[in-house]
Amino acid sequence: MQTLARLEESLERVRAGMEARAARVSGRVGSELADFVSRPGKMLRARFAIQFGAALGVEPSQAQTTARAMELAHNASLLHDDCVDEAGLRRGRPTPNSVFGPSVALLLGDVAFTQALEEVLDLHPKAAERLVAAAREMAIGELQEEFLRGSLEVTVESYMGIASRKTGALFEWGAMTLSALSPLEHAAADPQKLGLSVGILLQIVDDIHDFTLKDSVAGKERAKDARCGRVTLPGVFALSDPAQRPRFVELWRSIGKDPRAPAKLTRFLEDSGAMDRARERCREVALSVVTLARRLPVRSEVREFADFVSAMAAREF
Amino acid sequence: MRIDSFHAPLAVAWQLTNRCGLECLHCLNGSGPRTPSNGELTKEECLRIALDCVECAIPYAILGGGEPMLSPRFMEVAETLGRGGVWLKIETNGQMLRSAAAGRLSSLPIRSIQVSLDGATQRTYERLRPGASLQAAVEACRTVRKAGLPLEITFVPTRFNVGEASAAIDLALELGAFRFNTGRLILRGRAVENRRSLELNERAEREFLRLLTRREAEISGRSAGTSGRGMEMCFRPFTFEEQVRSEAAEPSGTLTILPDGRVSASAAGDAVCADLRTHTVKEAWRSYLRARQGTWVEEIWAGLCLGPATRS
Amino acid sequence: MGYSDLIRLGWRTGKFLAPAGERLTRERGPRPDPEERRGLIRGEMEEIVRREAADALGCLAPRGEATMKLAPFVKFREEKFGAVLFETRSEKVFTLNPTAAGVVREVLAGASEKELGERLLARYADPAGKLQGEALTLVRQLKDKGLLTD
Repeated sequence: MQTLARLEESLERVRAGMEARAARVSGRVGSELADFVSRPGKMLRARFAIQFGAALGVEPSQAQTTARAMELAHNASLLHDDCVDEAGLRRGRPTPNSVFGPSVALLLGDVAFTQALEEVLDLHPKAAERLVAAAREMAIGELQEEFLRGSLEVTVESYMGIASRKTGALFEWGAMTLSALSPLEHAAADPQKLGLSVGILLQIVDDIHDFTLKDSVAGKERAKDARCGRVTLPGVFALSDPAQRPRFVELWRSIGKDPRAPAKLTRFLEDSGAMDRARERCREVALSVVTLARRLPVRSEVREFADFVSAMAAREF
Repeated sequence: MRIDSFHAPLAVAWQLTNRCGLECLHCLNGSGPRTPSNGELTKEECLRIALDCVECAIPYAILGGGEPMLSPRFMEVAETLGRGGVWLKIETNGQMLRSAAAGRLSSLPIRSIQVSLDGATQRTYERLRPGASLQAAVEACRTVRKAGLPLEITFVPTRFNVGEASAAIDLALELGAFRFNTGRLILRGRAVENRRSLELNERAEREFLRLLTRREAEISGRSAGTSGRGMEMCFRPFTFEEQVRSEAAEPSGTLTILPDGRVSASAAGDAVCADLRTHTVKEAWRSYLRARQGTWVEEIWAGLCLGPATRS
Repeated sequence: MGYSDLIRLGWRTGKFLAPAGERLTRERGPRPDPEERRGLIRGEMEEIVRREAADALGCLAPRGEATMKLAPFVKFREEKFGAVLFETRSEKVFTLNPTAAGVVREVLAGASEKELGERLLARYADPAGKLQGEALTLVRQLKDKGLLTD
């Protein structure tokens, strides 16, 4: 209970910090636009940073700064992604690109990223440089995925590689930054691997949810990836099975022509076992994270961190 | 092996600088303290190229020169490549290699540090390398081993030092080298000017080859980790011409990067095919592959074998 | 003189002025078809992401005791034709066809010899029923050549 209370207190400080940033920007662009830049969502990245930081013995205010930077960088990527995908809804609300047009949303994303950089300027000598590298990897991952739209030649390995860049890179950054801030001895390579794995785990879960969650719970349109021509992990498993591939391709090609195609595709992925294979891969990655987490120095926090990872793997929204 | 099916080179041989603290009589690049360094790549250019190599997933880089450790970019380039997962070989005269540098290098994936040891006595060593200290080179070898890094030794046989070849092999064994590299003196650069005083006659060369074969048989009878240390004797191909023919027939997929960023289509540094100041590594690789296909490359290979440096 | 020539002139002279009397023309050329360009880039991208797939494979921590890995000094690199293993110590290169590359990828992802067959069967068709046996043979050959180690 004590740990949970501390976590909530830290998250509250992260939220307060983001609101303070929103207040500063609102004086320049108005409160409605500022809100898009700094509005927190599920705060999964912040939770990761705080709990991972605790398991590494990092001073709480530094973990909170890392958390805020991750959330702001994530917001930046969402603002841009929603332009790429022409998404109308995000976190249950209309996106700025659907309300004001993509130019505004792109500029808001740029502002969010600069705020993330501002957070870390004094955190650690390499933090800002590495955050720029992480942002580069995120953008490259998105570009790679963008140009693979419509491709049916995506393998499990390619998918995992893209996930490691577009989602994993930011978690990897957070983990490496917290590792550099940790005053305690720990295996140098573990945080990087662990951060990357958590990011990949999150991506797999999101991709499963894209099919399985209702719009009202997901906060965005269902089967958005499929509508955008993007094959995600359940689809990749279906494609890799010679028995399932033809039916998957048939359903895939009917998206955009048959309004019930996304629902049919989802049912096919469940019935064929492809969705279960994706869930199994999710469990494997979660297990690998927990295996690495056991080596973190603050044993009393490791259990909480492992529970957080399991909760992320099992979450329903 | 069809190197044209590779998306990027398998290795880069990067000459970081043409400068050297020594002015060895046999230097094939003609390097020395007075060799001009203007025109060499800037720090930003070096790091950009190093990152490009990492992004192309090049497995292996050989850092040489001149003397690579004289380049102010040396450690940053090594660290950028090494942290990106590229295995490194450093070719050095050992005169500047101290424990601090070895310590930094030990955190990188070092395939080997190659130190030139052209004699077993200071007098002989200094004849070929005026002003150089054999003791410094030997200390460098010990420092390399103490840092847990693999050591290889290079010995260039000349009239001055061939009498100490066996002692040099013993020294290499004692220092814990895993490989002893030698071969006929390459008659390029300053070696051409000093050819008369350096080059072995045919009889001396035959005796040298017999010595190498005998020592190789002796040493291969030992094994590393027991009281007799093992070491590979690497002397085939023996001549530069044989090396060039072998490379032409079975290319290694190595790009040679010159100190000013130009890329050579040949190990000798002739036949520039790209410029990394304006090309990416991948573009340079494609130019290299095109150059290898062109007939003019065949002429250059032939020229290397038939020019003044060739023994009849 | 087209626009790109004008730009080059500016670089050379430092004076960004159009030369007097020179006729400036619109650069012509066939307009690229966007769909075609996209298709070409997609093909390139498929190759790139296959090559960069190793980014994610190393993140999975080994779960079992008996996991194999690349021997020291050995590098694995994806290629269009499969992959290469480069033994940097001897500077020897070994090319792998796509199936062999798939075997090594599974090894790098942490598969033990026991798990290898199962993982490969999940990905590849095996009409002749030889995949598992051949994968194990390959692994043993790679170990014999000093390219893989326990």
